[in-house]
Formats: sequence, structure tokens, C-alpha cells
Amino acid sequence: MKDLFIFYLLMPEIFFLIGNLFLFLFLFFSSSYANPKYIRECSMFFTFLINIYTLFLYFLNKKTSIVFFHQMFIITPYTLIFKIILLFLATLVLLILFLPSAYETRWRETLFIMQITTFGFLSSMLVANFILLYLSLELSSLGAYILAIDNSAKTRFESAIKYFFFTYDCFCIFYLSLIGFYDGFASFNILEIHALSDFNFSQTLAANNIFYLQCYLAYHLFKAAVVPFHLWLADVYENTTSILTAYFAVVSKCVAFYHLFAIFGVFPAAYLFISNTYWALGLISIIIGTFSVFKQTNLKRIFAFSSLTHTGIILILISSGTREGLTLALFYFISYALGSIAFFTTLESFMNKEKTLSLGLLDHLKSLAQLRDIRGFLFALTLFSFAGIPPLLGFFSKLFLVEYLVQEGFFFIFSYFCYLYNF
Amino acid sequence: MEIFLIIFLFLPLLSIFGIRHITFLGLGNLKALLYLNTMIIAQGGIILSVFFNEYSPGYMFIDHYYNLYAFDGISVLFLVITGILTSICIISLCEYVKIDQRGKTTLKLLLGIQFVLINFFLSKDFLLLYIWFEATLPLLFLLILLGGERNIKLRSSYMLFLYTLFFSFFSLSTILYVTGIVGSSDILEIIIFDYTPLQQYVIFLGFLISFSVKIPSAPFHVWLPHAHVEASTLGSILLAGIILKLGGYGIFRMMLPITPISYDLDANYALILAYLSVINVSLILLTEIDLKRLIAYFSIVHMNISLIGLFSGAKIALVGSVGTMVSHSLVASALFVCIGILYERFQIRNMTYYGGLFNTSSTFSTFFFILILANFSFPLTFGFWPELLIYAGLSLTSYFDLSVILFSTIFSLIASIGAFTKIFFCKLSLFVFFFKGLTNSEFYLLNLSVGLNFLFGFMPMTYLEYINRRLIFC
Repeated sequence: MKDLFIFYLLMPEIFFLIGNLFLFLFLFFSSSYANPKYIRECSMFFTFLINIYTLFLYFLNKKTSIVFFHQMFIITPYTLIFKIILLFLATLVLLILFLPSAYETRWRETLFIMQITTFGFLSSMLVANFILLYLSLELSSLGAYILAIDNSAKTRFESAIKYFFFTYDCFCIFYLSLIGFYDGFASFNILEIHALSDFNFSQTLAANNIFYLQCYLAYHLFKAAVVPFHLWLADVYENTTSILTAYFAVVSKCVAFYHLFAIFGVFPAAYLFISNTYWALGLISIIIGTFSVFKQTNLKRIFAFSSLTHTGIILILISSGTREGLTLALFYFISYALGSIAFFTTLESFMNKEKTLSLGLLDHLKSLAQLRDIRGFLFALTLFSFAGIPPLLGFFSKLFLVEYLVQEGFFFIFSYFCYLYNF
Repeated sequence: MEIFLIIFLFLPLLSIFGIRHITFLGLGNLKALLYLNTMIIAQGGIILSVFFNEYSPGYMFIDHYYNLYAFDGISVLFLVITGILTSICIISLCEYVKIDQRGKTTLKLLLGIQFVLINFFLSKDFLLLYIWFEATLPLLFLLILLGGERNIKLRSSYMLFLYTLFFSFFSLSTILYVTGIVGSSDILEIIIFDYTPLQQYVIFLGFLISFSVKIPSAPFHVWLPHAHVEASTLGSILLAGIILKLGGYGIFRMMLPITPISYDLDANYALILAYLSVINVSLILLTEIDLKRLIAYFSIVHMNISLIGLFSGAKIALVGSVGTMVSHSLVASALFVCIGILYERFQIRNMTYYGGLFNTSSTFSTFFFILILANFSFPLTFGFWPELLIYAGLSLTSYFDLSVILFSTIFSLIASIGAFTKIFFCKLSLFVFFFKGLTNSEFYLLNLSVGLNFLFGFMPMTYLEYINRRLIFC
């Protein structure tokens, strides 16, 4: 009975999956007498409700971590916080579907796959086993492939294939890391590995373990699109519809950042290695993102390289591995995510039914001021916020960032300085 | 008393809201609303300055809830200028621009700038000062983009934006440095703290670099003429009248009180910048034929003379410096109104095309002549007394510097008189016959400016004494 009671911790995932499945069964098989818009609203409302429930869970387990079902699942306060943020952002992304131009023939499939992908992300935060982690990530990636190709752009095949092969490369390396961990620790369980890692990392196996750790990190760095794995970024962003770009830029990255942070807890002995890796990659991302953004003619490509810079900053913040660093990283990420969603919502609202603007070329967006529309002003505000102009949100995230970096060490300022060129 | 703060802070926002919703009442009510808004701000400031803080040099009306906003004698002065200039802008906008969607957007931007400026002048916190200092940028950027006609407006608005934003990074890092030392960003706590000479040196340089862009001093002044040329009349009035003063106000408010040692030892950095820009720009003035550009360069000269006053080390020059800012904001904005009058009729800024305008409009030429006199600080005009104080202060420290400045002001005299003769007296150009005289609101506007000019020219002690009383703590 006690074991059954522990199900309340799994309720968000279970309800999310079952509820969405029911909704979509209803959607596909009875669309003749059900208003599809109603289903769309229901789906969003459902995500929102689950978010509220997760918030409730967080207030129940503010301090403690709970392991249950034979060490298969683990819930920590950090997990719950990230889950709340993820669900909140997913709800906001779904809002873009309410725009008339996003309402096209295949929106049902898009919505369905998006929700399934979100389920994969949610469950990947929950598991305490590398095999289960792999399975849930695979589930989310399967959705992501389809999302990457699901549009009408001419070069979508190129970008989707790029995304596909990059993901599979990273998955292969991920297998390697699983094998390596099993070799080193004789277990797939994260808790057991955690218990052994202090001992094993200081032994001769350390070099091997660090190699496998690199392999593990590669997948998440790929999802977060940090520099050596950023080559898919601009192409995929350019060739997907706005809602999916927002999804890739916000929801997918949130999970990647969670795993990039959580690995500190699994291998505390490898703290220095992980921290240095993040720091170096973050700095390179900032520099490359900053200098690639010039001479771009496509707004989405500009956004892609700009987001590369933001990712670099967040990675540097995560590299501290401390509570303050993570808090700041979360604040920065939320401000970035809200900005991205606002950006894509306004971009989508400019598009007409024929989707001639869907590539986001700057030439198509010329003279928005002539429209005499509040949207133009909002779009300008969003861009100003990205540039970090006070008194908008982007400024405050950068202000706190600078304050934090000044405490950490003066050389970090350099990275911010590079960032300043970004607009 | 804090109700005054609240009224001042939120009146422009209310007006923006009103523009959106008052259209069904007709255009007349819209104008009335806007005049009311600006009049309350301008006259409220005057009333406050006269009655409420007669002999108090420090802050008044501190908002005790958040401890972020407060009045001061000097900030009230700039508040009044903001009110007067915004009303001038609104009158000129209603005169020249049709109040359609574009005109309304311009009005909203204008009121937004007013809101930001009021917040800037009332804030009592370093970070807040920085935030509002920067917040003028996007609004001005949009104002220039809306007002300009040529494609080059993109370049000038970028220049305005990037110059100020890039160099304000120094200001931000200095503010963070100061707040890191003190542990608070409240201005009263920051002033009390004792800084070591090295700390003062860092703070001094950081603020000097970022504010010398806004003033603007010589190597960083490139954005200003471009921005002036591309902005509409309204944008020019705002830029010359109040935005340039943010730099001087920032130095006055944030830099001087906390760096007394550097003020004695390192003032030469600022003075070199100021001398260089005065000499450089005075020489540029001789060759300039674009009217707006000419007045823009005049603003650079005046603001740098004001900078010299700030750093010359004499109390009397400090008073003159603040006085120069005040007088220049009125004179330069009135001159931009004059140029706007010409430009709205003929769409030409090049002064060589005008000639013999005196024959068709003697009233306008009289106004223009008086304002030009005030511009090169002719005795008994508004601009004369504060600059006299600066020169008097300089004579206490260095006669060489004084002679350099006086020598270079001769060039600005030649340029102003040259511009006046070219427009009003040289070879008669044909199309000036289409000049049908001033409209009513233009007439009253110029009357107001010239009247104020004479008032403060003949009775300078009215405002110089006021400033002097407020500068006790310096």
C-alpha cells in the first residue's frame, strides 16, 4: 500500500501521457463533431494544470530527495524546479499555436508529437538509471526528428538530415559512455555510480572514466547546442516553423541544462573537469556566436547565433556548480526563454497565410513600422531586451550576471565584453 | 508631499494612455491634455523650486517607502527644463505634423522620453540613474527612425545607439565597482563613504569616459551631428535641449561628489578633452553650411565650455557651468525651432540656398538675430552670464586656458554671424518670396523663447543665485 502511495510523485508524467493520449484519440477520430480549437486549448490547459500539481509537489518536498521503485526514480527539489519551468515554457510555446497563421493543416500532428516529446523530456528528468535515461531521451529525440522535418521550407531535408545524423552520432557516443560506466562501476544505477565514483575517479580508472564522462556530456551539449556541436543549430532554426523553433530553443534546452547541471551531483569527484569543460566551451560559444552573427540576412539565423551566445553564458554560470550559479543560470535562462517565445510569437504573427515570410528573411521584414501596428513596437522591445537595454528584462539578467562574474574573477568580464558586440 | 513625486512620475504615462483613448473627444482635447501634462510638470517644478526648498541644499521629499526617488534643487531645475522643452516639442509637433497614426506614435515616444527623463532626474540611486540614463536610448532611436526622411537615418540612429551603449558599459562597471565597495547603491550612502585615491582614480576615469560620449567631447562627438541632421525638429530640440545635459548632470551628480581627490589631481584629463573639442569644433564651424549641423556643433562647443566650468576647480565656474547647461538648452532649442520653421517651408537645410530672407519676414529675422546673439553669448543675453562666470573661474586658475577658450569662441562668433548674414542678407534667392510670415503658434513660441532670453539676460541673479544656493555641498 505504501508503494502505491508513492505514485503521487509520478502523477505529472502519468497524467500528462494518458491525458494527452485521450485528447488526441478524441482529436483524430472524432474531429467531425469536436471543435479542434477546443482540443488545442484543452491540451494547453492540461499542461498548465500539471504544472500546478508539480508546484504542489515542490512545496511538499522542498528540502528532501526521494528515491523510489527500487532506485529506478529519484526526485529532488532541483528536478521539480526544472520541471515546473519546463512545463511553464511548454505551455507558453503552445500559445503560439493560437495564432491564425500557425493554424495549418498538420497542426494536430505537430501538437501530438510535441506533447510526446515533452513527455520524454519530463521522464528523463525523473529517472535514476542510465538505461531508462537513454530510453526517455530516445523517445524525445524521435519526436524531435519529425518536428525538424515537418515544414514546407525547401532546404528542410538538409537541415533535418543534419539534425538526425548529429543526434545519432551523439547517441552512439552515449552508448559508449553507458558501456564505459558499466565497465567502471558495474552498474547502470546513478545512485550506485554516485556512491562508487568518489573511489573510482581517484584510482587508475580515472582517465577512462573521464573519457566516458565526455561521451555522456556530448549528447547534452549537443542538445544545448554548445560550440563543437552547434553546426545543426542555424540550419534547423532556419528551416522550421516559428513554433518549433521556439520549442527547440526553449524546451529542449531546458532539459539539456538540467542534465548538464545534474551531472555535478552524480560525479562530485569530477567537479574540476566538468567545470573546466563547461567554462571553456561556454567561452568559445560566446565568441563564435558573437562573431557569426554579423553578415547574416536571416532573422532566424541571427537568433540561432545569438542563442549560441546565451547558451555559452548559461554554461559558464552552470560551471560554478553552486547554488548561486545555478540560480543565476535559471534566471538568465528564464529571461532568455521568455524573450525567445515573445520573439517567435511576434515573428509568427507577421506571417500571412501563404507563409511567404516563414524563412524570416530580413528583406521580407523591412519597414515594419509602416504597418502602424503595436506588434512592430513589441518586436522592437523584444530585440532591445535581447540586446540588454534597461529597463527591460534582458538588462537585469545581464546585470546580475556581471555582478556575479565580478565576484568570481575579473577575467570573466572578458566574456561579457565579447557578448556586448552581439547586437 | 510624496504625492508630488507620484504625479511627476506617472503623468506622462497617463498621457500616453490618454492619447490612445481620447480620440473620440476630438483633436482639441488631445492637445489640451498634452499641454496640461507638460504645464503641470513645468510649473509644478517651478512652484516646488520657489516655495519648498528655499535654503536646503540636500535632497527633499525622499520617498520613504522604497528610498529610490527624491527631489533636489538641481533636479527640479532640470525637471522644469524638461517640462518646457516637451511643451515646445508638442507645440511644434501639432504645428507641423499631422496627428495621424504616425504623429500619435511620435507623441507617445515623446511622452515616453519625458517619463524616462523625469525618472532620471528624480532618482536617488546609482543603478536607477544608470537604468533611466540608458532607457532614453531606444526611444530616441525610434524617434530618429520615425522622423527622418532619408535612408541614411539608419546609420545615424545606429551611431547614436552604439556609441552611447558601448561607452555606457564603462559607467555600468564603475557603478558596480562603487556599489561593491560601499555595499549599497544609494547616493547618500555612496557620498559619505571615504574612497582611497586609487579607487577615486578608477571611478573618475570610468565615469569620465562614459559621460564624455553623452556631452559629447572631441573624440566621441561623431554621432551628434549625424543624429541631429536626421532627426526631425522635435528630435533635435530634445537632443540639444535635454539629452546632452544628461552627461553633465551625471558628472555633477555621480562623479564630482565622490571623487574630490581626483577632482584636484586628474581634472586635466577632462579639461584636455574639453579644450580639444572646443578648438576642434570651433574650426569645423567655419566650414559648415548645413544649418542643423551648425547648431549641433554649437551645442558641442557650449557643452564643452560647461565641462571646463565643471572641472576648472572654482566654485563660481561650477555655478556658471550649470547655468550654461540651462541657458544652452533654451537657446539651442529655440534655434532648432527657427531652423524647423525654415525647413518645414522649404525642405532645405543648406544655408547657401537661403538669402535675403529679411526682405520677406523681418519679425522672424529679428527673433533669429536675438537668438544668434544669445548663442555666442552676447552681453545681456541668456548665454552671457554663465559663461562669464566660467571665464571668471578660469582666470583664477590659468590665464593660458582662458585665452585659448576666448580665442576659439571668436570662431564661433564668426560662424554664427556668417550664418545669419547668409540666410537673411546675402544675394536674394527667389523662393524666399514664398515665405508668408510666421503662424500664430510659431510667433508665440519664439516670443516665449526670446522673452525668457531677455528676462534672464537682464536679471541673471534670479537663476544664478538659485543655483549657487543649491551647490553648497560642492
